[in-house]
Amino acid sequence: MEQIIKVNDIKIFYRTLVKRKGSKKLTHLLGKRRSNFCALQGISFDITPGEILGIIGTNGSGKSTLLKALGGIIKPDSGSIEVAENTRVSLLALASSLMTEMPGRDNIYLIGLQLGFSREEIEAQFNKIVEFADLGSFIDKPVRTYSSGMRSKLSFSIAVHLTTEVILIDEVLSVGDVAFRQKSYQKMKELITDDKHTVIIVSHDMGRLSTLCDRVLWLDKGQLVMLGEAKEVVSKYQQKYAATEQKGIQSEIKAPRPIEVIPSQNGLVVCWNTVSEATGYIVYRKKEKESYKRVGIVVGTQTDKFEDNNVSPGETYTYTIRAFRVYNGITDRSSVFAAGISGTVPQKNSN
Amino acid sequence: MKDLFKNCKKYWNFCCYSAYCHLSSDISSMRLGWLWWVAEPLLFMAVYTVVFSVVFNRNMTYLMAYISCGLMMWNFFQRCVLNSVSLVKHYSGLLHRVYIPKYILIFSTLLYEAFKMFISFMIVMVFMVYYRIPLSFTTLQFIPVLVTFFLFTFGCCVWLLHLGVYLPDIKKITSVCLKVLFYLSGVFFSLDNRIKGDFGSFLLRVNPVGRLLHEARNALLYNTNISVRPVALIFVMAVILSVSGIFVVTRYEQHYIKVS
Repeated sequence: MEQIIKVNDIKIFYRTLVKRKGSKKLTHLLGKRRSNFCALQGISFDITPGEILGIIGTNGSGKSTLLKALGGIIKPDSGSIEVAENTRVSLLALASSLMTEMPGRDNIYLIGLQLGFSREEIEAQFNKIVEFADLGSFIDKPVRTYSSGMRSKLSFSIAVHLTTEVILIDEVLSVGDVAFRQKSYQKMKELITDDKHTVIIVSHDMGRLSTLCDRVLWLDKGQLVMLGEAKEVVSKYQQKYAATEQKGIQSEIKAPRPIEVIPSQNGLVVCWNTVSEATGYIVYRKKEKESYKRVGIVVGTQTDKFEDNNVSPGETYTYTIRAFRVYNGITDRSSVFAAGISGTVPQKNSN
Repeated sequence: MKDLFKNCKKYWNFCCYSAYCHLSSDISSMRLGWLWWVAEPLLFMAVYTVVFSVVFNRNMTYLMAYISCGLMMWNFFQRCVLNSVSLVKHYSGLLHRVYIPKYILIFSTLLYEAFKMFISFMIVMVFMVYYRIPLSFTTLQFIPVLVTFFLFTFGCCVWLLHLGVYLPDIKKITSVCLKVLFYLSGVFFSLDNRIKGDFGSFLLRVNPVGRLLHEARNALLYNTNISVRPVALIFVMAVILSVSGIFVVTRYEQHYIKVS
């Protein structure tokens, strides 16, 4: 069978700023020096139509960069990526790809048109997208008013309904709440098993990758370590990293720092600094002189806010955040900032 | 060039819908909604009319139509240029999902601003009727001036889109340069009559925006034939600017995400 994507010895560099060596005053004066960081170092592989390819590797191994290159969003600095003619490629990532000032409705049409769908094709899928994302009347409100979960759901729903020939999925197998996660997993399975789509998935969920994928590609520090049958590669990867991960889990995950609490239409939105190795965040809340109680869990390394709707107008609440990570079924949690951060729910207008 | 036309056709619906979304977002975010599209040019025209006639104690034939025409074209140029500096950042959400030629984003911005310009043009037309300015063959000469103006704006935008990705300070620099250009383009006064000595005619020779504003007024308001040579020269310059800009953007656009 002819390949739908052919990757030939690609190399991708990022320009970064690094600290200069020498005395503090001199380095401060001169600023940081530019340096090249090689994210991918000579990767080659082929993908056949209808194939499901998983990509695994530790953080910073080049998985997301590879997906962006396959989607044509980043151009390799050397080597080439050949995509079969009339093949549309789209990338589904957890980082929001929505226009925040526009309503969800306009975002659906914009993304659809950008992907090359006609207005009629988008209209045919529109109700399904809204229903799947479970947004209700929010579909006509600007995306900036959505919670991070709602944004992820809409983003995911668009991607699984307006499907291109090649779908690239970047760590989104755990979107939204538990119910939505099950629904999204089922939808992904449907997409994957219908043979019409070629899917490339980046995930840390080894169990799901072994069941969903035909082949798995293992990356480490930008280099291809192994490419082969899913179960074999996953098992080799787990063997190598089991010991390291067990060791790594003993070093405590960094605590996310709460930044601010903003009043929203329905309550309060608490924002924090993300932590690179986190799988998700647990949000705790307390009223004055009370102890902290857990009010929500959000999944995703880049998720940096949580909307708390279960609050009373005029009350002041203090929030603190804890990050957690999951390695091979073992969950590790960070400490919390004891001081927390406070915000008052605005009084509702009697008019 | 073949790809340019192919992509324009492919993404035409995206361009139109994106412009429509921005327009409807404008309406929904303001209490007066679309009325601002009419009120804004009228209010600015009133301000400059007062500044010109009362503060500077000057007068001119068809003053309100003159200022409206200048503001119509200047506002289009200024907004397009300023928006294009941060265009990649503004659309970064969409750009992280799927590849799209970046110059398409400029077309979308031009369409959005062209709609607002069209409303301002209606206001100019109302003033033309008010002043009983006759329509003739020379009025049609406004069309080539407008085409050249669009192409010149596109050329500036495409270069600024590219520079805006790599030089974060370019937005501030552009704002300052636009302010200078505003006063050197005769938006609310005549460059050749109001500036003493040869400096006015010098500005008309070296400032494409000032020249195009001057020629547009000549065609629309004063029934005077446009100067073909300078307009043709600006057209050639705009083509070079646009083609080279598209070449540079096409070459580097897939590196933008690494930077932005």
